[in-house]
Amino acid sequence: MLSAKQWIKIFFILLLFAFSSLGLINYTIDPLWTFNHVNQFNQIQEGFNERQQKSNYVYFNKLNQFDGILLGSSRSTFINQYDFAPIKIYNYACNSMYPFEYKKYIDFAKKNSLSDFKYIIIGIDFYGSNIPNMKKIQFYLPEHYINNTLSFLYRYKMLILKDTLEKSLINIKKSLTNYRQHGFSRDNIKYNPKVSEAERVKRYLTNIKRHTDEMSNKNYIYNKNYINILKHIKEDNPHTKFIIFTSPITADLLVSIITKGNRFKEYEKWLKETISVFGEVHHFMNINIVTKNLQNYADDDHYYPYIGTLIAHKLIEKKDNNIPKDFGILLNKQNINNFLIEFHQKIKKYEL
Amino acid sequence: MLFNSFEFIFLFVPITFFIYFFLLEKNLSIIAKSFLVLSSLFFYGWWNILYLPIIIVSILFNYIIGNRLNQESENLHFSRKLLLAIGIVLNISLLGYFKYTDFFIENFNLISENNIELLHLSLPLAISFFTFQQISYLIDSYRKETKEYSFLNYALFVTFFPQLIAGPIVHHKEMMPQFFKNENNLKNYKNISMGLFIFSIGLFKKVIIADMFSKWATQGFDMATTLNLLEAWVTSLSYTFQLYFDFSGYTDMAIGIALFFNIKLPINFNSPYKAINIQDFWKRWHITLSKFLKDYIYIPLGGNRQGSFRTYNNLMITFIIGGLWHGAGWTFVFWGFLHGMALIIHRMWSHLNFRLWSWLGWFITFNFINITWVFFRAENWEDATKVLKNMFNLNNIILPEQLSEKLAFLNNYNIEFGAYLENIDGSTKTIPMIIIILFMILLSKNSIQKLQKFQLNYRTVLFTVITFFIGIISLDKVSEFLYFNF
Repeated sequence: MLSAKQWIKIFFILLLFAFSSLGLINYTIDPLWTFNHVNQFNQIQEGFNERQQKSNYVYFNKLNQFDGILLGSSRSTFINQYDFAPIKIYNYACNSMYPFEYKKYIDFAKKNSLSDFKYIIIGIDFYGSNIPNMKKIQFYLPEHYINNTLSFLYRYKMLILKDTLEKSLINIKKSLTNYRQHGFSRDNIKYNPKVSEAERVKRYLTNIKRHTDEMSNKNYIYNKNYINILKHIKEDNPHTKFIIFTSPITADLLVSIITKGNRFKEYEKWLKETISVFGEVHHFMNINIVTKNLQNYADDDHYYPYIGTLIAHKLIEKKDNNIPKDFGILLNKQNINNFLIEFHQKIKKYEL
Repeated sequence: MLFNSFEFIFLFVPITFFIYFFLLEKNLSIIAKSFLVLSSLFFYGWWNILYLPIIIVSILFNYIIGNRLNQESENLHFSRKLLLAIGIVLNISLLGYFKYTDFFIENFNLISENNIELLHLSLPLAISFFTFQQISYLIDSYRKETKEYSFLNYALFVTFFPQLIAGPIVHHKEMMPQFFKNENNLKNYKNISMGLFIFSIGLFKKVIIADMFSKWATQGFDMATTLNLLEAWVTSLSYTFQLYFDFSGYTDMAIGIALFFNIKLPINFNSPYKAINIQDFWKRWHITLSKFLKDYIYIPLGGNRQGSFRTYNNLMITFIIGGLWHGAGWTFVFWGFLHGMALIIHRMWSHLNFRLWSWLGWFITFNFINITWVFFRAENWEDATKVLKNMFNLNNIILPEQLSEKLAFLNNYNIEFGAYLENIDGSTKTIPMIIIILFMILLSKNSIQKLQKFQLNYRTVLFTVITFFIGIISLDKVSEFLYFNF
């Protein structure tokens, strides 16, 4: 039998021990990126909730030393932000990012930077011209993540969660055994190791059908608001240089969407609207040496990080002999029509 | 601020507790009580500060009316009855305005083919609770059953934060004497340990058990477009368990926090799913609401004093009001009607001296409760019929693939094997969890019984630490959710 005071003391001592142990593990690993320390146990981080993790990084570590940010979808997440050197870019791209999300994330990043950004780089995707199906989208609006980040004592509350511990244990395992396997480094570099040929073919066959379906028939409606979204972010950032590029998906997928999905007109409209707002676009989403070579991809649309390096170098005009000549065309009002005519011819000849 | 939030558990409760007892130790009991009232209002205003004036005005109004009702008739300008009527009408009008206006407009539009715009008022938190609580105070003042309480004690009675949001619906006779007691002004470590014990159980019930079932119930009711027979039963049973563990867990937490302040809140749930008839159920489920409905609606209507027909009538009225109290919608009304009917049938049955075996009584009662919760939970009739229809649709049975070989003969009866819980996002643990929890509910003691037998030993402290710790570390999720509608 214990006295009531003893009972309470034991309760709080045991609880303190349990929470301290949990908090210490989660703090050491920091799977939610609310701190910035690096050690051998947390050098590889699983990107389980990129919007939340990157927003946390932006808020808790600030972007004062950065010249700009990179936004875009999963493809852009594979671009190493240090490949833009000497320009300092923070890669704020997240899985399945839609254009309607750009503004909120740009505003949030700006609030956590000392001054306006010199550059905003956006990797746009053709699927972004589709009206987003809110019921199927598997993430929240930007406000959700940002409010989480800003919520009272957020970084400390997250330290004592079972969910955080689960992610910490995954990160420990990855850091100790699978160095540089799928995941992020502590300095925001996303790795994507080469998959086996059998795995690649399996992913390719499954996804090319799904992605084509998603852009076909009733599943696709051109978003009339797309141009306004771009206009708003341009107007909101008058002192910033926008560098816009299209993500290079496999030529197979692109041709499949355009021919089977019958989307040439929308593809044309999407490019022309983007050019009308920004003046030019670095176009990689066409038929070129990189996109024709399926070995550059882990599936039908995700290129390996070394392709991301080529994109970064091309965007900042850094000399790189590895960049194929036909990889990346700077499209503007003057050359867009010629490009589309040539592209149309190429599609006709392309064998799927 | 929710009970199951970090802010509440790690900041609000400890800060309020320490300041309150610090003030009491300094013999500043009025300041301490005032502090507790202000803390409770802060707790209330955390959700939406705009609703703070509503509860303050409501307290002031009812206190003044209650005080006047305590005076002799000759000192009043108008009759006490009229004063009581004004008090009740204004309380119900406040509740009605916020809770039922859109419901009435919708129905008016439907009947009159008008198109009056809905007001889309958001419901001030706990308005149903504090309105009922104060109506009972007015009626008792009219009956001269209340003493002239000080405003501070009255305000504390209404706002005391552990019971403010979701009950138990406390009665002034239970609460006021506790606020007066001098011995309650001292820290009581036994009460604190008991409070921690039951709070931890409540937290575990809410965060671990209720939230687990809520996932399947939400999928089945709100997301799935179709359900097979198993899915429909899992959906309804998940909600049956979710509601119980959520509500009783919250009540346990309220009882626990109140104990920190040496206040004993009344029992609200007493193993309701062990009930062997519907009357038994209502003696065990949301006991404080049942007591309110009985004392302030059923008995004033005449109770069972005016013959069978009037008794049945009174029962039905009471339960339809009870249904409406829970929510502004016809599904709630229908739920109340079904329970009223069940009570009438049970009463007739008892009068005829019929008896059922206990197990059969339990089986019928539990299934009746489970089925009627479908109307309580469904957002509309379509959702309710979707679940109910499929609970009895023998042409849509899918069993687990693993059973396909052993039960192959069932193919002849149109029974399929395959993804049997796909539409509700269930897993292989779903059905075992339902069975385990059902047995746990039936065979184990409830949290209040455990609290009554509480002993200060290593076993209880370890149990409390584990349940509290698991509850806290599961308070939030860090992964992305799927299929979230925004």
